[in-house]
Amino acid sequence: MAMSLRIRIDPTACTGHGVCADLLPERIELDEWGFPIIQPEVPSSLAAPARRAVRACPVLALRLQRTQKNQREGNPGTVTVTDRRHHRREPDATDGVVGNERLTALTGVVLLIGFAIEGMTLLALHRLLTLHFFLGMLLIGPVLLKIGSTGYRFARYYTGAAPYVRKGPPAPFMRLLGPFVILTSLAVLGTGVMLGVAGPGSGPWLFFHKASFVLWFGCMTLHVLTYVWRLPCILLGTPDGHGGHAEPGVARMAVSGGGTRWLLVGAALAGGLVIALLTIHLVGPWDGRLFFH
Amino acid sequence: MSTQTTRPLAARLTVGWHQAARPASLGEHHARYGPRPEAGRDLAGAVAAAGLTGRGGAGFPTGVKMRAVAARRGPAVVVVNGMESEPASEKDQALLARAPHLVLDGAVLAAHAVGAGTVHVCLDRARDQQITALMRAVGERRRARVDPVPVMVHGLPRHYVSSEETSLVRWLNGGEARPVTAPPRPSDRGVGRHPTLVDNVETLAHVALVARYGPAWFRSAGSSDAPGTFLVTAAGAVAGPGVYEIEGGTLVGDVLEMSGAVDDGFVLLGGYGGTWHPMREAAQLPLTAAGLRAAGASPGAGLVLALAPSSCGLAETTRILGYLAREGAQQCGPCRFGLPAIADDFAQLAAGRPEDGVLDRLHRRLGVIPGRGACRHPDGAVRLATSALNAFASDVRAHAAGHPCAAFRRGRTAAGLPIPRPRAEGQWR
Ligand SMILES: Cc1cc2nc3c(=O)[nH]c(=O)nc-3n(C[C@H](O)[C@H](O)[C@H](O)COP(=O)(O)O)c2cc1C
Ligand code: SF4
Repeated sequence: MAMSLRIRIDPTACTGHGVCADLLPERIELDEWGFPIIQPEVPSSLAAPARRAVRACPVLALRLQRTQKNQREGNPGTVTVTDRRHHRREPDATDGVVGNERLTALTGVVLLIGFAIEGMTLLALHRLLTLHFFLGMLLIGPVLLKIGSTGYRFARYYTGAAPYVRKGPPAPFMRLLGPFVILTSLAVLGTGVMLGVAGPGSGPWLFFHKASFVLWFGCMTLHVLTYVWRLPCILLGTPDGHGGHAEPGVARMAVSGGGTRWLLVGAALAGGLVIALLTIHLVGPWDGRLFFH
Repeated sequence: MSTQTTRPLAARLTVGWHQAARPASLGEHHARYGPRPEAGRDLAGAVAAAGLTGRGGAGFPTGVKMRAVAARRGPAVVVVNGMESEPASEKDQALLARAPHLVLDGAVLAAHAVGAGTVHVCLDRARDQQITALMRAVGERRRARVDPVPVMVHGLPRHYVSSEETSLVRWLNGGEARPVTAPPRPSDRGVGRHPTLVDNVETLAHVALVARYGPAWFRSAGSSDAPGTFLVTAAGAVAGPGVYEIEGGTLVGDVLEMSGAVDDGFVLLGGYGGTWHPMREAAQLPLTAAGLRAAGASPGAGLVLALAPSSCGLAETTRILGYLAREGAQQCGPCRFGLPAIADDFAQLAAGRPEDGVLDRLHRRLGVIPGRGACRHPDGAVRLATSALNAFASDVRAHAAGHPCAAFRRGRTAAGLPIPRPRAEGQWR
């Protein structure tokens, strides 16, 4: 087994700068228009200047590939991309769609964890009521963010934005379920807020809170069961978002706006925290009384 | 466009075309070919056994490509290439205009075979009637609930390279219809990053027939190295220009004869990225990939273009090269600067007013351009130019010495090859 290097060029990226030919004249010459004519095989004696040439390209049009040659059989074996730095891609219009899907998924994970804890407080609600209320208020932020990001996809789809139209709507059943997920979520949170504001013993809010919870729980179970298995792929950016794995040697799909997505989720949590802190005093009158009501 | 079937060696795709003035309805289609069979997962195997090759120009084995897409994990996508950007070609338009349901059957069957959830049909945006007719056919199928997958029809911008497969994928992903450097190939990562099967409309029509009648039936027409039938377009200086369905292995000479070419002169095989040959030599060769390989030619998407005896081959080549140079995607240096340069060299030659050393310069340029674009567009232009220098060698010498031929001095003749108008700049989306 011998390793050999090959130079690969993306001709659509190359702007004819010509630095590569200066750094690796043994393998690269320029044509009359200043674009490189490359002999791709790089012997090990030229590996160092070849790397320099690849790094020097101002538009990152060059890459080095390591080829494993099985010399006995003489056929080129697996090809691995060596230099990840040169695997950066230009953002394109699909990034919006994929980024939107990732934001929705990321917020979904935050909510899944949050509501799981919230669910546990139900087991000992008389002791954990403060936590229950606080967490519920905190989750208002991420819930609104999730409605926002799915609403954005909805709006882009119906206003005919090409990438969203081509991605298509969600599967028919999920399309039907979506509005119920949103309505029941808003109902559970809204009645929770009303319970705090109205105080114990006044009005039908406790009944509404419990009733909307039951409906919400049904919708949510279906919603979570449908999407949860796709989460890892969407978040990790493997090629198909459906349980596939990235090709060997190819960096996982980086989608521009990763920082923005984390920032949005952070901001949603911070917003929720502010709401929670401002409303926490409302839980006082309720403490310990829920079950005597 | 006339669609003659005066001497069809086999009529499979063209059954009933002579009486058809409009697309076959779903009912007529079923009466002609029978209902679409239930799709088996092993359609790829049957297609491979049939020896079907791509009819979009590259001639790649379709079964191999289907298997490659099917083998990738996750849902796939099928893209139907109905763009037919080759200016003289009419076969895909003729097929869609007569037998749209055969093409759609093939697309839906292929979708099932590779595990695709969507079919995208890509058409030239400028062909309004074709788009309307196909949407109608798709609507007919939707109402009849014959298809398990949604079929979407798209109109893409018209450029020679917008129909290259990576252009289609890039456009469907929301980008411009310009080629992308591969890898990854669409079969690995295409529309929405899903593995994507891109096939020509004629290829898919044959898939629909293989699914119905099997690989052995498919091979019952044609030769062992070119099984089945092929749609070809004959144009230029022929009495009966149009689309013909021929058996694999049919000689170029037979196509010239059935389309009524004057039997002396030159023929351009394979399209505008193809090769010029003296008719007498080409006539003996089968119009197949294997049969033309030794002559450095390829059938491409089935084009047989006759040069009028009164035309100047160099002038005609100059016009085509100018068109190809304009139609590049202007992304890759060797294509962007190289093609206009060789078109200009040819223009000087054709006009009989060459600068000093233009032939040497031209040969050097033709040597360095191929293989350096993201797509094969520049390679085609170079192939055309190189073959013109060979086929018209004596004219080249005369023109280079400052004596353009009589035909050039007479100017363009009526039976010239079609050169589409320059496009609106920047319309890539
Ligand atoms: C410059 C260029 C133009 C092309 N134009 C077409 C076209 O108009 N129609 C088509 O079917 N294939 C066209 N192709 C070939 C496609 O890239 C692709 O190979 C084909 O659609 C695959 O289908 P097939 O295997 O069924 O032939 C073109 C290729 C190149 C390089
Ligand atoms: S080779 Fe020419 S047509 Fe092909 S991608 Fe590059 S610039 Fe565009």
